[in-house]
Amino acid sequence: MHTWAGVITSLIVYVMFALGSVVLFYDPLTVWEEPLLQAPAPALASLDAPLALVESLPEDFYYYLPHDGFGPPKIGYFLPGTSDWRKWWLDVEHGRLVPQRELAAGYLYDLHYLWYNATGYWLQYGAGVLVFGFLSAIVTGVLIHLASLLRQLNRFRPERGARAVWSDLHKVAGVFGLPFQLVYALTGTLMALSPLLFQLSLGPVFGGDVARAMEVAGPLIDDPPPLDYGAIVTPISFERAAASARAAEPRLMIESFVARGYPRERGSIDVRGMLAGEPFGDALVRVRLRDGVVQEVSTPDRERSVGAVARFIHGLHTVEYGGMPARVLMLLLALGTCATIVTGNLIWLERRRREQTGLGHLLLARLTSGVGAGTPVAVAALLLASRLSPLDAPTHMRDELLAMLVAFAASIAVALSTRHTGRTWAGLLGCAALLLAALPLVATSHSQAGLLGGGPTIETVRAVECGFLCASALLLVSALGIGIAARKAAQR
Amino acid sequence: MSVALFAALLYLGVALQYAADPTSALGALASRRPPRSVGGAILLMLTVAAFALWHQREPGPAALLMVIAGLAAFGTVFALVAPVLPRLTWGLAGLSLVAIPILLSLGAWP
Repeated sequence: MHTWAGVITSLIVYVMFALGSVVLFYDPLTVWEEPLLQAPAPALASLDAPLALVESLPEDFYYYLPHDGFGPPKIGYFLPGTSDWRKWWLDVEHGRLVPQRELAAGYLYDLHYLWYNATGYWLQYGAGVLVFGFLSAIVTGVLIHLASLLRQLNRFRPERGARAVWSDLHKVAGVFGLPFQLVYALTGTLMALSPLLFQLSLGPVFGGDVARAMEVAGPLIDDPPPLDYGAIVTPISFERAAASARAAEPRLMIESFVARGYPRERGSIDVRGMLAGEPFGDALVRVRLRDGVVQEVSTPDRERSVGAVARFIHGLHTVEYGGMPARVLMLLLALGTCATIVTGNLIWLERRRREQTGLGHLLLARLTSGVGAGTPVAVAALLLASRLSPLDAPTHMRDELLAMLVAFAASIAVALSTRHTGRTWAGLLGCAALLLAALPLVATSHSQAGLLGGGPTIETVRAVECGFLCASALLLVSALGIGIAARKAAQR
Repeated sequence: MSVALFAALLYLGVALQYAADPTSALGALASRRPPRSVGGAILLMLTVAAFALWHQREPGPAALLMVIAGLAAFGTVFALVAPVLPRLTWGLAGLSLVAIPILLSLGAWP
């Protein structure tokens, strides 16, 4: 079961973990990609002033305040009746709405759990099921090796043959990364499947009462199903909603508002943010839209058990602790997990090398190299396209996604048509390294705040570009190492 | 600075334990028995120090999560990299040994 669960789920789960390792740095990446976020936040006359730029507000929308003192506020919502998510920057200084024009980090974030507008929730549910399969592979792997877990923990024999090396690497990275993998597989499964579980439980558990279901299990899902919010009323201002929320929870550092049923009788505004000095300190104060009465305060010390579960699931998965050092450690562990997954496939292939030369064996070998090395190529191509394509071009976001998909498909095509998988790994990883190394230079076309820009530098932008160069160096060293090993193996 | 001190404490602890007994790295922490080697005892002390340091920076379970993540990451580095590039891993351990008193003298411990 360990082997089959691993092989079946491996390649897609690998992509999810690899993209997840990049998404750990989602916030810095959004600053790097969007020059609007590199300018100081504008002074807001009131919290309601930016929303006056929007001609007609939809029933449900998200309103985000400037983050860390940079960039304008923004609004986001699903286009009515669709799963198309749209965002606009609220440029109060120039009195205009700027449609979201950059989505490189967003694509990585969404594809990390296989969310895509066109496919909606079903691909995400598939991701949840696959990660559950991965969870099974972890549990069965631990059971298989339980007796020899500590003995094998330090056994790494690079001087031995490929099978021993892959086997040792698989066990060492797998066992050391076990807590990380367990936590991420479990929380990831729950996050991906919770909308489905919510829908499935509506009838049998809540008798079809959506409002009651939302009250009990609402914290587990992001977007509630459609509700009847009643007649149109004059809503309270966002200033008043913020004041009510602050009065109810003085520690709240307001980051965003979520309006539901705006501007209707039973509508509400969720005032959201972190609590000062509280780890996993997501807080939410729900204010009634028609009169500003506080309906719910969800903080770690007041919430119900479902809220606590949701907060810990989300907090653990999105690393809401430890700051940047925690994210760097998680990056190392995520890369270790990617290595565990790939080496699992390589062990399978090595074991069957002599007796199996069928199509399945060939496909798995080549797909492992194509997907394994093609993922960093695709990420690098996406980032490069985001800098090469004009920022205000209407096709900019489509170009980014297209570049990513074409690079990924091309990598797989190269892998499928190349006999020596070692050379595929080396070539594709080298290609990804070169693309990433070019980013700081190419990025000067959109922003001068980076390593090679001529303008005032922004620390976050420079840090992101340093990260690109470090990743490029790591990929280059890996490509060279694999290339040398592949050449030696071919000579033998 | 406290971040660098935290990383140096954990890395040095893992390195010393690995030097004392490569076959039971982190066993001193995983086992309920007292550590069986000097390296294990030092690892335990440095881990507790790293936990205390992070606990002052961030209350609650975050300190424990950080220590577990740090031990897992550095443990992987040692088991995989030390046999291939020993100079790199031990060089970093040497740097940690020097860095810890310097960081302490510069006020890295809050």
